[in-house]
Parts: sequence; C-alpha cells; structure tokens
Amino acid sequence: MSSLAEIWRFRPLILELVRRDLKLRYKNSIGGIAWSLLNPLMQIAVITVLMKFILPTPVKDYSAYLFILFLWNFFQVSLADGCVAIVNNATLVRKVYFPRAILPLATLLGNLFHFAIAFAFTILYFFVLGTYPSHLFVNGVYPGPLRPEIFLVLPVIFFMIVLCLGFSLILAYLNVFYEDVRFIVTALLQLFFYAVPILYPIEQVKAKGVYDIYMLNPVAALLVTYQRALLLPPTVTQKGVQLPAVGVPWGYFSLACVVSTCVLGVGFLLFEHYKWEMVERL
Amino acid sequence: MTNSIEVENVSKTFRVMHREASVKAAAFKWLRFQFARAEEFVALHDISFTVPRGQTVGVIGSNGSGKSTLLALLARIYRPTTGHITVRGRVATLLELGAGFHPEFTGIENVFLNGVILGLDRAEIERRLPAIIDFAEIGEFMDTKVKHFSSGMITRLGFSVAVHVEPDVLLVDEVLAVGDVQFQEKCYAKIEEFKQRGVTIFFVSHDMRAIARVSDRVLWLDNHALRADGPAAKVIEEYDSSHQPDH
Repeated sequence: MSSLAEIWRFRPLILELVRRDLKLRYKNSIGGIAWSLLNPLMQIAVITVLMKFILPTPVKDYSAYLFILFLWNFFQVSLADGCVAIVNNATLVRKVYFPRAILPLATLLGNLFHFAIAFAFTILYFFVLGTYPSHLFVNGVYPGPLRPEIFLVLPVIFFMIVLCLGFSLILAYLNVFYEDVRFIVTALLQLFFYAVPILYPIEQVKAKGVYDIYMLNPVAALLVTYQRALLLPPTVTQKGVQLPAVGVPWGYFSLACVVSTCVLGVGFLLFEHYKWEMVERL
Repeated sequence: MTNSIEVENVSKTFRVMHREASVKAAAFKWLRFQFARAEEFVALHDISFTVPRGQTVGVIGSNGSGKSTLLALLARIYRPTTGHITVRGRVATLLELGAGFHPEFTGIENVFLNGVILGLDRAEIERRLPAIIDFAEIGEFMDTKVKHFSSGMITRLGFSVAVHVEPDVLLVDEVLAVGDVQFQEKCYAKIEEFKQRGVTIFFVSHDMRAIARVSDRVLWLDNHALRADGPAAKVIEEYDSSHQPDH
C-alpha cells in the first residue's frame, strides 16, 4: 500500500522522533539510561524478597524466571505511550504533514531501545555471568545447556512488537476521540498484569485446569514462550507434590503469532481509515 | 510548464460533532438513547484555481473567510470534502514558525528536529547549518535551550530553517511580519531569491503592503468562496474599493 511506502520515505523523521524521545527522557535525570535497567531490576528484587520471605512459594530460584518482567514492561509501556502518541503531538500534527502512523511507531521504537538494553543484560546474566553472584541462583538453572530453543526469543520479541504496534495504533486512534481511554488503558493494564504468569509460575495455572483458556491470551503465550525458551522449567511443589512442568507451548505460541498479526492488520487499517478525521478532531 | 498547484472544485466542510469526549460520558448518553449530533460548518465552497510553477500568489480576505483552511488543505493537513487538490514538488509549510520546536532542546537541536520535520535528512541539514545559523542572527544563543528564547528569536530561527529547506512550493500563513525591519528586509530578499529560482509561493496575509510587494497574483476569499482571482494590483484595488464607506 502507498501508505507503507510513504512511511518508509519518512524514516529520517522516525529516527529523529525516537532520538527526541530518548534525549528528553534522559536530559534531566541522574543515571540516564541506567535507569531503564534499574527500575525493573528493583521490581525483580522486591518480588523475590516477597516470594522468599512472605508469600508461600513453591518455586526454587524464582527470581531467574522473573526476568520476563522486562518483556512485560515493554508491552505495558508501549501501549500506555502509544495511546497518547497522537494527542501529545497535536500541535505538530495540525501544522505539518507527515504520515501520522509514524507517531505511535516512534514511541514503540523508543521503548524497544530500552527493552534491548534490558534484554542484553538478561542474556549476559544468564549465559555469560552464569552462577555468579548469589545464593539466589543455583547451578542447574543456568547457564543451561545451549539449546536451540533459545533462539525462539527472537520471533517472540518480533511478534510482541507486532502486537504492541497493532494495539498502539488502535489505542492512539481511540484516544483522539475519547480522551479518557488512556486512563482506562492504564487501569486495565494493571489488572492484566495478574493474567500473565509473573507473580506465579505457569505450572500452577496448569494444575488448576484453566491452562487452555489462560493460554489463549497472546501476551501470556508470548511471555511463557520467552521464559521457557531461555530457561528449563522450574521445580514447582504444591502440598508436597511436584506439579507437572510446562515446556515451550508451541501451539499457543503459533496462535499468539497469528493473533498478533491480525491485531496489527486491524490496527493499521483502522488508523489509516480515520487518519484525516483524527486531525480534524485535535 | 507544468502547474505547481491545481485546485479543482474543492469544498471543505467540517463536521463538528457534539460528541462526548470521554467513554464515561458517551456511555451515559447511550444509556439514555442520545446519540452524537453533528453540526456542519462549511469552511470553503467550490474553490478552483491553478497556479503555474514559479508564481507568487497572495491570499486575502477577512477573518473566517477560509484562508487558513485553504492553506491547510494545500499542506495536506486536511482532506477536501469534495474536489481534488494536486501539489507538485517538495512542499515547505510555514503555518506556524517553530512547529516541532521543543522547549527543552537547544537552538541547534531544534534546527535538526524542525528540518527533518520539514523534509530534509540530517546530512542535508548539517551542510546548511552554517547558513541557517547565519540567517537567524541569534548568535551565541544557538546552544541555549529554546525555552529561554524570546518569541522574536523563535520566529527568526523558525523562518531561517524553513527558507533553507529549498522547497519547490512554499506555503506561508501570516508569518511574514516577523522580527525588526532589518530582519524583514532579509526575508523579502530571500523571497525574491525564491522567485528567481522558480519557487511557487502561496501566502496568506492581512498586510496589504506585503501582499502588494511580493505577489504576482491575488486570490480574494470572501465568505468561504473565491470572490476574485487576478493580477495583484487589480484584485487589491477591488478589495480596497469594496471597503470604502459608501459600500
């Protein structure tokens, strides 16, 4: 479609907008880029402490599995930022022409940059630093045997990007017409956090028998695939019985890829159809 | 000689929706079976004209006659409700100086941002940077954050970036009156330069002297329609005479 060709032609602008967003975020802050890593690491630390000392946790070395928090954060922040991408740039949109779809795309790429740093740290931590430093991490979890499944993280990340972009386009369009969409999205994302296996392992979901419905959720499927591609399943015991392990969920992962592509397709078509009306509304 | 701008039977109607701006309010209204009502506002009615390459066209008319809407349509901000618009070549729009300027960035950083928004890539901007800085005449402030600039400095920098973009078509909305007389003369000189180079200039202004000085041709928009279209002197005279007390 000609819209896609036009977006490609405007790539210097996309780059410039991403540059602008990244620069802004770090201009006045101490630590700068390190902050994008520190924040989720602190979250992991807090949840680890919570699970070790307060909540009854049946999982050994759970903090390693918490690294999917980085991917979740990418999803959450992409949607929240993408939602307001158009309205925050209203003055620009009303004065100069450029393909409007660039705005949610640029915010997504900015967030991808932060995720890339976190991801690099994850890989480094798992496969290079190995058993160092602490008693929280035990050999047997990693550096796991370098299995081919590990490369699955690449398509996972790709389809997560596809999904986030699709949602960003839909939400950006909605937020132009209904200004409180951004608050609804923030609230829903907070709840949605509990529908993905971060605070609890997926094995418990399987034991409860809701696995099949649960995994229809593309975000859950992508996160589990990401987790199990990098790490062997954990040892989960409940009431003295070890729960069956869950490996890479190939079926649900494929479904998630299809769903993500559809969301992007719908989002793009919707956005393109309403792009002129959106400007008149700003 | 191909035409730079072609406007065929263009009308623009804005549908002002008395629509609720939040999901919450919309939900309450729907529960009471009240749906969004639309009011239509005709901004432009059946406008047609063609501008050959290199012509300078001035647009005059009272406030609310549709001048800015016409410019926005030419700049592809809005899509015409009916009719067709063709604009050929690279378009630079000066609908607001410093569009895209971010207060937290320095003058130089904003030159790059603004330049890319107007259609250049970074390499091109780097080549023109000395010329841009020179024209803007804000000297050592280039490394200060724009939030500390005076409005005059912002307009000078914005104008400087826009003129160095080297467009084929330049659309200007009432921003020619910027800066002091000295800077204005520089601007007029630049516009003369553009005219020599065959750049099509299309601009809107209330300042009759500016229009008379620069335009070859003038369009007079009155009450959302094209009332006159002809050589600058003639149309300006028509406009002036229609504003005499005995009319």
